[in-house]
Amino acid sequence: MSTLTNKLMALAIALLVFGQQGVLEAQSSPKVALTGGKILTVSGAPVVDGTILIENGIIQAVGDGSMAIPYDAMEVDCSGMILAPGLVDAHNPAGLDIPNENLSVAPFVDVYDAIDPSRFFFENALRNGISTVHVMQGNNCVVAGVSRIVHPIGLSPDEMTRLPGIAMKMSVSPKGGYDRLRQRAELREVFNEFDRWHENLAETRYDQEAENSDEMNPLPPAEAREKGKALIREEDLDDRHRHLAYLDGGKLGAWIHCGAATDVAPALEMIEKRGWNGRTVLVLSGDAHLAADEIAAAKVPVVLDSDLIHRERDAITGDVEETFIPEVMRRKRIRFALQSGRSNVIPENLLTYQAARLVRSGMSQEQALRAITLGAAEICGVADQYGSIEKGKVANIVMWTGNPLEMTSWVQKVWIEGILAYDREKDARLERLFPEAPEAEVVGEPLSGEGTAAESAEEPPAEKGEKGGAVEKADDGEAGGSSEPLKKDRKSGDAPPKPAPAPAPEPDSGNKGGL
Amino acid sequence: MLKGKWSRLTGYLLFALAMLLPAQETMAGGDFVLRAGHLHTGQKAIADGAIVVRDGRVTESGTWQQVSAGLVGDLPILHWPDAYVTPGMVAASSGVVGPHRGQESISAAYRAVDGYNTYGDHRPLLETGVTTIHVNPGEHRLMSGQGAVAKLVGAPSERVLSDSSDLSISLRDQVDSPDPLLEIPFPASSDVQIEPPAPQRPASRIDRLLALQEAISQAMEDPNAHGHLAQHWKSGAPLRIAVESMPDIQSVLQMLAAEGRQGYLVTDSVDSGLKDQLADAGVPVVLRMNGPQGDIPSGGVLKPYGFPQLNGDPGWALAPPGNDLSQMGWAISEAAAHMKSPESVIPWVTHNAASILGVADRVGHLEAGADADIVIWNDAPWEIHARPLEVFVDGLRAWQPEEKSAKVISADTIWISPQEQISHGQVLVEDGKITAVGRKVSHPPHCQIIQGGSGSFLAPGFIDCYGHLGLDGETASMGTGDRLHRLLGVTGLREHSVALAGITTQLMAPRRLQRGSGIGVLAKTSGSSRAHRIADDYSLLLLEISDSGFGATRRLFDQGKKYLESWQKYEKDLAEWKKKKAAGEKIEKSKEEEVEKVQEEGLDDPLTGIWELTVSGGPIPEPETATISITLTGSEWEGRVVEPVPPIPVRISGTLEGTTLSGVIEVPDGDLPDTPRIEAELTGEDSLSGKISILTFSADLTGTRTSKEAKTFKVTRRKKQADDGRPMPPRVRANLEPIRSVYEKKIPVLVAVSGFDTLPAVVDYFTGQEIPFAVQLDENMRFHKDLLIEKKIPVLLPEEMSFEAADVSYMPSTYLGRSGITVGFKSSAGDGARRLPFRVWNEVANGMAPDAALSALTTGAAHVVGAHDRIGSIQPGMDADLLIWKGHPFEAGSRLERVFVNGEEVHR
Repeated sequence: MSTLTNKLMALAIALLVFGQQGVLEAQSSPKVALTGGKILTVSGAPVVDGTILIENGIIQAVGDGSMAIPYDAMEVDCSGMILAPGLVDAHNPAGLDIPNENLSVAPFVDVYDAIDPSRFFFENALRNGISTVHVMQGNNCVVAGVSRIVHPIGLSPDEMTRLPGIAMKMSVSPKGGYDRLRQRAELREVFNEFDRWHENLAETRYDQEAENSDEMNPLPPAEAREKGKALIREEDLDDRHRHLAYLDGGKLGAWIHCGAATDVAPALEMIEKRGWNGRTVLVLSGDAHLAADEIAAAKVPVVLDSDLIHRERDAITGDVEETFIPEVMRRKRIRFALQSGRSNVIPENLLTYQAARLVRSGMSQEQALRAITLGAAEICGVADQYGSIEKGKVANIVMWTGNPLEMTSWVQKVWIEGILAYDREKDARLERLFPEAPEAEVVGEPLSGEGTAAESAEEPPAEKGEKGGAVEKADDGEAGGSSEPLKKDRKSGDAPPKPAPAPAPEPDSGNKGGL
Repeated sequence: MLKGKWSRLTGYLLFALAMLLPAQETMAGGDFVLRAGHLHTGQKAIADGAIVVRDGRVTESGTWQQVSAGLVGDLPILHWPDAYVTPGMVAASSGVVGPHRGQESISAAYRAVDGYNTYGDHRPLLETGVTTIHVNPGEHRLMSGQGAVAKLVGAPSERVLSDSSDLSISLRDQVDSPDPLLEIPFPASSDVQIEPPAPQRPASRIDRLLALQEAISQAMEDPNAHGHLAQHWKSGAPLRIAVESMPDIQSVLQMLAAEGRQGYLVTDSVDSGLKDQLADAGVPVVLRMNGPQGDIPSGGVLKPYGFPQLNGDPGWALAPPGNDLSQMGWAISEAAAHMKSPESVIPWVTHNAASILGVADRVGHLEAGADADIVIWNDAPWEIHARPLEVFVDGLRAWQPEEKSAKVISADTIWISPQEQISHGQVLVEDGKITAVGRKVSHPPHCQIIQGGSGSFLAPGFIDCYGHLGLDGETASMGTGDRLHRLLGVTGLREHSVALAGITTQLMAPRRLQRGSGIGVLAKTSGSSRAHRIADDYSLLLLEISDSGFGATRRLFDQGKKYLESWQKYEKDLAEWKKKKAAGEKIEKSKEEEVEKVQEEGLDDPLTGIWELTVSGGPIPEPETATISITLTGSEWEGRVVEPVPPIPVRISGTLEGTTLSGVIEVPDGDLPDTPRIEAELTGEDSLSGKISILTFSADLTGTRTSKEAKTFKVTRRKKQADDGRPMPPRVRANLEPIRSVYEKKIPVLVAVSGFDTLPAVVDYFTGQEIPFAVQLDENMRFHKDLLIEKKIPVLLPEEMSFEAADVSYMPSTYLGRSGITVGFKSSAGDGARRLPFRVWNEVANGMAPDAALSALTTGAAHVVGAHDRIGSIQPGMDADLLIWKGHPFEAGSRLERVFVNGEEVHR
């Protein structure tokens, strides 16, 4: 099958790339202490000469230089550097094979089937300090399917996935070849059809239960439908409707694309009518910010398009007016997150550049950094684990050579779940880009501890065997006992490719039972 | 730090400004009273009607008399005496939304309101006068979905008036043979068969109604069929049925009767024979007439463009051809032409349309309770050139043309000259100028149309040839160097009263001339700034010449001639220099020119002599002394620094008036940023004290005279030439500038002649130098009649009505007026100028021809002041200073109704 061949190819390429970089190196000790750097915690005040203690991929403590470091912790000297939380890309289809299915209504799909670990996007994300990506379908859809949170490392979607089943992507703006009449008629019909199916199921369930129970009396259909809703079990849901049921049940967030201001009211109306109050987000583009008042009144957070400036020509005077959209959001007190651009415009691909533009338009550095870390994590509903350097959070930490929002700073190292996932000194692609550059001198200079680089450079071969284990371990730590609704979907497709170098994790263990 | 903060602050400010701007736009408007010459409420026409608007709603409407009786006075009144006011029009069909791109041939699921952009900027469409539109899911399917009604502008959440106004059915040819419907199964697998696409109906024309009826009965069994058709069918929404052929109309009438449903037809034409059937069935029609490009139905029973002969108002509506809103105006004009009274077309595009669409409670009329959607038209809307001047939606000004300065003024008589008048003519005014005069002039889009009405008489604005309006009590004598025009600004109450008397231009003259000469400024009596009121800083050279005093005039003109020559020489030199420069020739530098000035000996005056001056204070740390030699000639003095010897000769010059000494130190160009000025008083016989100042600095100056004899000195002046050999212009002398203009024939001369023999000498002098001039004469003018006729000299008549010369009493106006001499009148008054027309009325009462009087106030006066190329007649290119009279201005019972100055109306 050609898709299988594709995936194997992708795997091979991934191996090549990551193998060279030695990304998935694991330290000898599960305890890591990052010392001496300035810590931008995002959630609190910065700590100068701070120490971060990581154990089993989780931040155990954050303190100043006086904090005691356990004897068995591997200490990494970060003096002269800035440690910031890994950046969170709140909405990005770039990790997918194609951003959208051809099928306009596809609530049953999951990005799992389309995540391509070999995409340059992931490699580059890491290089630019992004440690958490909310991979979601593009905007060219009616109902597009379910998204998940991944780390930009790993050889398979399973390895990469941290939190599956984040949200359902929908659009009230017309997809290609559609107009708004057809778009909304189809969108309404999706939920009309689901409601009919759900009511019939409820009625059937009630009747089934009533047959087996002495206490339950047969009821007229309308009442049976009402009472039967509580009786619907996980296994009663069919593939076609399962995700819609999760959406209505609050297990999935609703992310709705609004490509114009006129689309905001219908989106909010749909949210109101269906009762999706918990994890609803509007993905804005075009002139949708004109409806900021309505969005602010509904208290719904938004994700902004990577093109932060909107230009509009006045119909009468012909004058072009420019609007800096984040400023509108800030003034209306709408929570917003940024996404890195999908275009080839390099600066827009850098979340830090986007955040720096916020500073330029008048936001504080702290607010801007928050918008690409904790703020984005909050909007994705994962702020309990990601987005800041706090005790108990996942140890996704980026070491910057300077202020992350400065264009002259770069990412020196990235730790994902406490594991060194990226080291600029061993970035094979950068080496090829700058073959002549005396990297050891230039790059190494700001680092006070030369030994650290040498140390980690030597380590990978010895620890290779533990790589898979570390990942697995992290998975085990996270996997709860809850049900795994996505299991069937994945199984129904091609068998997941087995990552060759490490003992393959159980196909399901990668899925956190968030649903 | 500070810099960064500032730039951020500036950023905020700019941003805040940018956010504010669009907000301001929508702020305009609010609560107001609109009074208009013609008002159509959508149901009836009212002459001189008025509407009261509060909170975006009409609270009262009726005739101005009715409405004004109840006004409290808290609202601004917008008065459009010439405009035609209608409700915002309702387009019962538009192409703003649709056709939808869905697959189903019969489905109620598509909602046109989904496609209507509530945030869209539809303002350009308001230019058509339409403020409310029906949006349609399309006429390309047998049943395309639900229509809606929305306003074109307004708050996004309030634009939609009805989100489901009807169920749209189409029996047009394009609905036949729709594409088959393909449904992709889920899951697509080998177990689930992919069905071939299902064919859809109607297959043919005959199948249309049948397919529809079957679909309806199917929907009654399955509530989900055809996009929940059952739900919408049962809700009783009116059916909007687009039909093309007459048999279909009959079938539809039968179907509506059989189903017992409300509905209306949308069609391009209606057979006259069907109109009674339609009326009986109570089914209204939205007539979307074929446009000029459309097919004209053939066959005798159909009127061109499908317009049936109708009696009374059947409650039908009009829609633009091809759903193109820009053709709405054409549709209205064409429909009006087929109606007994053109006015009856207005309900078709307002109230009837709103009633058919079910939104008549809010739009389509201007009775109390309606939304204040108002269009102010420049003419009756059915006129082909009719355009909105302003459009209000919800009481807010939503649209107005960018340029609305063009006016077309119609009058029964347009007075061009005593010989030439146009009856029932029009004058086009653009940018304050008359651009066309004729029986039918062009009507630029959005021009304001002003109907003079019956008996109207359009005359040029009157000209006061000599007045003092604007001097405001300034009685000082003024010479040729005085900048009289600086007294002018925005016009006030005095000017207003003069303008409303019909005097649109006045030659503003000083009350007294200095040494027999001065300048006059032609100024409009209405205007928002000096620049709007005057064309030039000075328009006329005024002279007074009597028996004794030709000398002063001659001297002035001699000086002026020299001055002119110095300029001519400069211009010649400059032209040569430019030529040489362009040719790349080497330019020789001229040598310094020596001018010897010999002191006139033996004069004993208060200034001439050697002065020791001390400069102290101000920016000067220590007192400085200097010795200068001064020579006084008349009231002008000239001096030179003797000690310390300056590196280059420094010349000091100025004037002495009484004991006040003022002057400047002439410094070679570029050495100092400003010319130092001296202001001093002679404090004793041989002493002076005052100030010397440069820029904003000044220092004290004291001086004593050590000798009463000035040194004879040579003045060596550098020839006025720049470093690159470019000739330098001569010094500008304000008092001679007007003389130079006279010689250059830029301005004429107006001479007040007195004395028996003076006129021939004056005529000789000015004709000899080919200077255009006009005269004002004293009582002796009687003796020079032949000369005036011969030389065709315009004459300014004096204030006196009659004279007595050599024991003969005569009236100058009749005496000269009859002999064909061009004459003008003057007021010699401030705001008393408003009585000038009355003064001329008295002349008419005493025998002057009314047309001659009108000429004297307009074209004649323009000749006297030498501005006949700009004012005084109604011709293309002239300033649009116009008076609308009822009747001839110098006939009994006439009155001045409206005044326009530079094309702008002067309101009472």
